Amino acid sequence: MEMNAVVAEIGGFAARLGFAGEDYPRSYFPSCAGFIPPDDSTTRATNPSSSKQNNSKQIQRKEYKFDLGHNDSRMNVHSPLSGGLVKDWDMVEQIWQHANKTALTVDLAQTPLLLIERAFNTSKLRQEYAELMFERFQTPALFLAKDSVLSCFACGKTSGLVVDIGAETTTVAPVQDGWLEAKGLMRSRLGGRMVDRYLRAFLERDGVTVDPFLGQPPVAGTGEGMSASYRDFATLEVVRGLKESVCRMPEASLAPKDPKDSSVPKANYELPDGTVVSAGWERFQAADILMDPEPAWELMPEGREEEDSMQVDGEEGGKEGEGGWSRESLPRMAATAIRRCEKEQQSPLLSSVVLAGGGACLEGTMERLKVELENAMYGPGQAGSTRVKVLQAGPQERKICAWLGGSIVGSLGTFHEMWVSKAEYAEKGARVVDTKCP
Amino acid sequence: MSTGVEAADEVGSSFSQFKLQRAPYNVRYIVYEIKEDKIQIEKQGAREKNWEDFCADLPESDCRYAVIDVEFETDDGRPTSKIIFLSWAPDTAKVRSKMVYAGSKEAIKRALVGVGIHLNATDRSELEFEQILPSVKRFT
Repeated sequence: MEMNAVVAEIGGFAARLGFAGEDYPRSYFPSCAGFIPPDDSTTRATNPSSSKQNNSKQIQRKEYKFDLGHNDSRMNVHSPLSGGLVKDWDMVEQIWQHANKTALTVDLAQTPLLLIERAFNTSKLRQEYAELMFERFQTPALFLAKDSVLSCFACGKTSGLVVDIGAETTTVAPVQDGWLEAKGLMRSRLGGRMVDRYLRAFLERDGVTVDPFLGQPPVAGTGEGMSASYRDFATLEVVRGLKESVCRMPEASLAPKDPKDSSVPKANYELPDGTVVSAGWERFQAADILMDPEPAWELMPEGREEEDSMQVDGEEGGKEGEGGWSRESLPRMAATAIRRCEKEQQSPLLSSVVLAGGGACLEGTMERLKVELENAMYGPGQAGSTRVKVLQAGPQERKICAWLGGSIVGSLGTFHEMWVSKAEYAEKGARVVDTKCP
Repeated sequence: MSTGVEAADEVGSSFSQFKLQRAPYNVRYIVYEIKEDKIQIEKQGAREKNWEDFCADLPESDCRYAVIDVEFETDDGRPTSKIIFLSWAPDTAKVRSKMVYAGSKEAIKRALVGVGIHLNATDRSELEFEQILPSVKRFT
């Protein structure tokens, strides 16, 4: 196979697709897409009397927009994932098409794929993904690799506790000799987006309303304002810019601060509409919710409880430890994950904590995680012990850690011995991914 | 998950001789590298060499594997020796190097039949003999 493999990681917030052997995914865009409901008269309508009726499959296909820069009040914003797992294969398909059309421009029917999956992905979803790629895209070969294992390897470790702080989900996964230790696997709703929401709440408390469209009327639609989901997404994106510029992880936990307390240096930031925000303690308090999440849970979007309960059935996580949802702080979640492993695994895991993900990019996160994890494991006041060591990739690489690991594996000459070919899929069915990509 | 990289035949055969200290592998240590998608021998250290010589033979910013015949005294004063497998993955190495060496570790461990002690080091301080010795003793 002469073609470079395509390496793809579709998260709840961003999709990263690119070529194996490259340092950065050529296609990196928000996986949240805008969806305009089809009952609008300007989109393809089911009109039985129309002579131009499309075949029924096309009518039912939803169409998503990945360019969310324009103000269209009919549009709702969806993520293809729920709780970190795929819930909408239509969207995944369109993400692939969008990435290929705008950046990759390859013939997918000639291109082997390395698909990166969440540590707690289910057997059913893996098989569905294989089915999508083999049947719809006619890919000649593919391989599924777990994000936590790739991140662990990319930091030089074959064993370690991987703490991947994403946008909507954080995963804690113990990896032992290149294999996931399922009993210690845990998930949390804490992540970059929670920090964004908390920061937005501070702005609102101070009377600052973020207007992502600068007061412009919508370009299409009824003009009655944006859908709640679109407004939420667009305002959080503005706040994210603020966060990435001014927020830092405090060295120690913060007592509640008087917002008028001027003892911390303020950082100024100009919002798109020209409002200048002067952030003081909020810079640290927002980041601190990863270490002390109590104040943040009430900001959780509605409907999540329902999604959480949906995860409990069948083989999908939800069971204690195996991808179960935690409400603890990240350091406590990491400590819980470690305690669920065998005693002799615990020390080595603590001395190889791998921090990855975009949500880990706020300055001070690594140092604080080390201190808090030491406190959680050994009791307070143990800071400075050598028993906990946290590693992280460099700042450019941290956000794309798992993708980078996949890019490297996919570029090795030996990769073609690992993948599942279309012929094997045809012969053995989708179950072959469970045997060949354990 | 692994990278699919395999160990060259010489890795296994030389190790059998190393364990018995049979020529030409009656040496203090062997350092392995991954070259052209294969794990192979990079260099060896003569019997007279010591731990510091071994550390000097490891590159500053690239990963390696090694087996070393470590001589030391047990807590009750008996001189003894043990063969250890060391994975060198310095923090300053490129991501590609770390990834490939981590993902190929299982392959070399399979080829080095009978090694019981596996150690890791990610910087020079972790390579110091006083750091290594307690782990070696723990396995004895």
